[in-house]
Amino acid sequence: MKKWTIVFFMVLLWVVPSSWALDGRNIIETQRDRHGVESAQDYSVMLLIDKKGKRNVREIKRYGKKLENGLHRSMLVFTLPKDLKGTALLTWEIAPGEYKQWLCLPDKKSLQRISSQSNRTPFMGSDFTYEDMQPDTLDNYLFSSPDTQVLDDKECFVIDITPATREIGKKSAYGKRRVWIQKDIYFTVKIQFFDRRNNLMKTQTSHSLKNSHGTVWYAQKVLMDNHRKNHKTLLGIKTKQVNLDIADGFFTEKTILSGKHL
Amino acid sequence: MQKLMLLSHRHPLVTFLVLICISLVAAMQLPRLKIDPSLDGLRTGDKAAKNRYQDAVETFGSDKINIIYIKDPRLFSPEKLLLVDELVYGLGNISGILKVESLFSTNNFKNSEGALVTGPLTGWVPETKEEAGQLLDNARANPIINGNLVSESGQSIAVNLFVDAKDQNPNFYRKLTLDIDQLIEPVQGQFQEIFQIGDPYLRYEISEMMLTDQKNITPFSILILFLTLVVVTRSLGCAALPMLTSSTSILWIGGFMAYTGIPVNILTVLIPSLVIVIGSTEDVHLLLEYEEGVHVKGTKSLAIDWMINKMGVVILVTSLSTFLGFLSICLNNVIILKQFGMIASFGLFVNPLITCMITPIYLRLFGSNKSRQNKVSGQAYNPPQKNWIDFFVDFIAAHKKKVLIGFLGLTLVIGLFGFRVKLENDYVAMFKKGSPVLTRLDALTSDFPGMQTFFIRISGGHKDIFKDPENLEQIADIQSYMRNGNSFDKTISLVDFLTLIHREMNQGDPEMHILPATKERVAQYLAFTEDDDINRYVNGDFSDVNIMVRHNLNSSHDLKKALGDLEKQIRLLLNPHFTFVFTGDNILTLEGADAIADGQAKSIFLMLFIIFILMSIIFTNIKAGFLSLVPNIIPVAVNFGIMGIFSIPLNVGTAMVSVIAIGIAVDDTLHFMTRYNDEMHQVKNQDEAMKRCIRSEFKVVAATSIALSLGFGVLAFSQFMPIVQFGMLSAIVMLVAFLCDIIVTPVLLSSTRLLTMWDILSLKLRREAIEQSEFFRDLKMWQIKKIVLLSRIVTKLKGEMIYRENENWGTDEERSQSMYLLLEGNVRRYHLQSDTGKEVPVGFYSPGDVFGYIAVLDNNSSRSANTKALSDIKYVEINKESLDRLNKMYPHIWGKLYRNLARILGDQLVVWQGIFSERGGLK
Repeated sequence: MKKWTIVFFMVLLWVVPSSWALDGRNIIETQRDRHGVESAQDYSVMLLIDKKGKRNVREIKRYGKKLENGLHRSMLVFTLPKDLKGTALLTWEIAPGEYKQWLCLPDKKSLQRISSQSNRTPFMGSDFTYEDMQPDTLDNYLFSSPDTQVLDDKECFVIDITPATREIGKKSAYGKRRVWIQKDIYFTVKIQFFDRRNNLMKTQTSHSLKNSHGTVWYAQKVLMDNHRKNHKTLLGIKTKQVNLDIADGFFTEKTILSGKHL
Repeated sequence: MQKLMLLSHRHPLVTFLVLICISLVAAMQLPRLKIDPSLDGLRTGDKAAKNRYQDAVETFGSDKINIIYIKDPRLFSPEKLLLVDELVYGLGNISGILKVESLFSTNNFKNSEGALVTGPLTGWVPETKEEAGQLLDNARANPIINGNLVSESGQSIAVNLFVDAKDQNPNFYRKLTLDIDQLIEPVQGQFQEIFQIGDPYLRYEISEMMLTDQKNITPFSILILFLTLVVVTRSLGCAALPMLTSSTSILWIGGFMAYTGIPVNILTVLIPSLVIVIGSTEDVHLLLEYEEGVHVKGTKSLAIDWMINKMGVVILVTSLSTFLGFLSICLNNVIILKQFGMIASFGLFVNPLITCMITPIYLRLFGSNKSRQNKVSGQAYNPPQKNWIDFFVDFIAAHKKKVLIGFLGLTLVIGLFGFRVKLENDYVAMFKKGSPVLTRLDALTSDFPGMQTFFIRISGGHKDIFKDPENLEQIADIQSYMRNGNSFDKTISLVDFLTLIHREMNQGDPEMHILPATKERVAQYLAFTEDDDINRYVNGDFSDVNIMVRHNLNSSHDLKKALGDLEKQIRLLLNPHFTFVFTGDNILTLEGADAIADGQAKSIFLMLFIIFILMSIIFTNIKAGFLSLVPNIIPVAVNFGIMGIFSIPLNVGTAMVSVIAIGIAVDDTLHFMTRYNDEMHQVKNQDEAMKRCIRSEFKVVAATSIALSLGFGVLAFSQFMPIVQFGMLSAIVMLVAFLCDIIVTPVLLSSTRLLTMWDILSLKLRREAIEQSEFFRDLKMWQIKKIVLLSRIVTKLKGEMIYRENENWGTDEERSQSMYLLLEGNVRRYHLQSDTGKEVPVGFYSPGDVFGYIAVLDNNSSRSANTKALSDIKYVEINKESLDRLNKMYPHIWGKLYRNLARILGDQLVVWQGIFSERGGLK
């Protein structure tokens, strides 16, 4: 009898956690659901710090909207420094996980399309790549079983995210991303980016978390530390508004060329 | 030196203990001895230039690049590119490599079907032939990558490794090179050619070559020296002495280098060999003098005394001249030469001291008691039959003028080629033709820009000044000038990035490969770049820009000329309010080339000046000073002539030849001059003295010159080209100096009469005799000694005749043309009665008196009386020729002497007038 009792508990030990716990993908989905908004606009300061400690300040406005078909559109506009003022990046999600981007230089009369091959490129001298600023399509990735770690006294899920296929991997600069999601609010507080040889490239950390409304939180400061280049980018959000009424037509060439985006 | 040798001879134990103590202290320092394989020593110590360079490195990054060159006909295939990718990945993990620049890490900017593609040239290793081909096309289309990371042919690529220039660990470059080799080794067979080349690799090669040199050359020098010594001394025991003194000197030198922090580098590594070779010449002279001492004096102890007495001053002077020769190299601003000058002069300062301390002890213990029959040196040298040396001597004596004119003429002709000598201070020129380094460099430069790099740093003085297209246009013009010339292979600047982006922002239109028109557009384009892309070409606030230049001008002369032209052009193109500077390791090394020439001139003139002063003092005569310069200038002229004829450049090696040659050659000149001086004391005939001088010195000088020549010749086996050239030239120059010393020096000397300072100092004259002599009135003692030494001191026994009545003047008999100054004893002047033959005294002379002076004043008379020694006497015989020499050499003394002679004659006239009056005068 004792023998069977032990076997039962041992089986229970194996079976129960896997059935009770969320897998990596579930956690990411939960995180998305909790913090997803229909539209958003923020005004941020981007501080670039090079390896010698020299600082460059840029100010940007960001607009984003989820269209009725579930696809995203966004626009990023530089307002400072003076010589970059008006430079804008327009992004359209044309199919799940597929994007088109255009760049506008202020004194140019047309937009310049950015190839999707440029995903890996740092955006306008920062440590964020175009890829970093696009939402992920979850089907394109594999998620590890979550681990648990304490980060700044908060319990976090730790999940490794890797490209699902070799083809998807070839389009990305990263071989793996490791994310830390704060358990209590399901907010991503840290991301480590690894190359395809599993070497750490950069680390993004979120600071000064603020509740926007309900389950929606956002980080007032995001730091991207590029370990390879010994370069840092700090993004500080000055103001943020969510669920605004932004017309679909705002995310067009016309808006930019007419200067309404400023 | 004399006192030191005497001390060693009298107190061998104390001397031995002192030697041991100093040697122990030196040995204790040795673990601190550093090896420096760097080429930094080729630079000058110019702090401002160094600071400029350091500031440029701080601002724009390291200019130290190691290049991995990979060549294969199927290089752009997925399999080969995968291997390259793995290699590049591995290279990035090597400690000390700051940045790996390759096809896999470089950002590209291009317009593809209307869309802008930015980012890494390839983020993924091509997996198909088409992808590989696309990668090649993309690389070729980018002017920054094309010809820099991929060759035009597409069959070779370069991986540039930027190395941490600040790492001062001596083993850093060795470890780095071996780490890189370790990665290359497994794929060696996979490519047609793969190797590393660049500054860090050269440093490694140089350190390996230094070790090879040390392993090969030092033992070879010892062997050559030993064999030469065995041949010269014909004694194994005597050959061991220089080994003992040299090895002790090398120990002390090692201790000194460790103490002063001067490292073993490509030049200081030679010092042991040089000390062995040069230092041993003194040992040879001492040993041969000891041999002669044994022959003359008979016992070991007396022979050592003889040696000390004979050689003390000579060794002092020859050591001093050699020491000063090497010390004068310190005048050079090139660090490596300064360090060499310091250590070599220290070595050649302590070596004679050690020699003087060890030799008496060594000879006391191991010196031979027997003299050999056929001596190679010495006054008593009398060949049993006429040999070739005698024929040579006779020929020289018979054709003095022709030989001298011929020699000087030939020197002049050869020397004129010296104007063709070019400066060289390039580290690539260190390597021999056919060496792996040059083979690799040739392969690299057939496809890529040369590995030599420098910066053109242009300062605008204001923030963001180089965001203005008008200012950037000037940079573009400078680059355009450089691109259109033949001197520089590749230039990269901020302009290249901006023009590329501008072209691609305009659908790749080649016409738009120009700078954008507005400042704002420049700023916007710059936002496409990463710091890593452009921080080598512009500083943080855009007030300074940097043009990185790659070239293959492995000759300082060519580079200097190209930079001179470039500088003129930049002044024309650049806003006059902007400043610019060429900087980089390459430039610092180039500045060293000027310093070599400058230091060379200073060293040679200083050395010649020192020789002139030394010889003028030693021989108490400015003419002797000038004469001694001639045989030393000739080897220098021949040296430069040979360099011109064979296109040997003036570099860190050859720059040392002249001063070292002078410093060493003057030793033989001095030996010759002192020997000539000795011979003149004996024979009083300049031609005969010259012949005897050549005969007696020929073999010794030949032996030391051949030993030196062979010793320097050993350096021809060095791995370093400047050292090979230094060795070969020094070997030739030693032989030329030898020819000068046996031909030019004696011929020149035969026209003069020398007096050495030590002749004057050692001459003891009886003060009473001098003071009471009217002949020497108003003359100082040193002037009197000069007169005496230019004449001949003769001793005679009581009763011996000095001259006879009616002896013809004007005969060949030297004494018949002489006057006499009595130093010691008494002399009687008398007539012989014609019938009885009885002596009738007519006068007596005591010390200080002169007599027989009419002979030097009038050739057409005969002696009016006999003179005979009344006791043992010593007198000075002054002949007409001596007085003529005195007139030539010291006219001031001659004037006083003739005035005194006139006074004596006047007094005599008064006396004779008185006698004549007493006898009644004329009747």
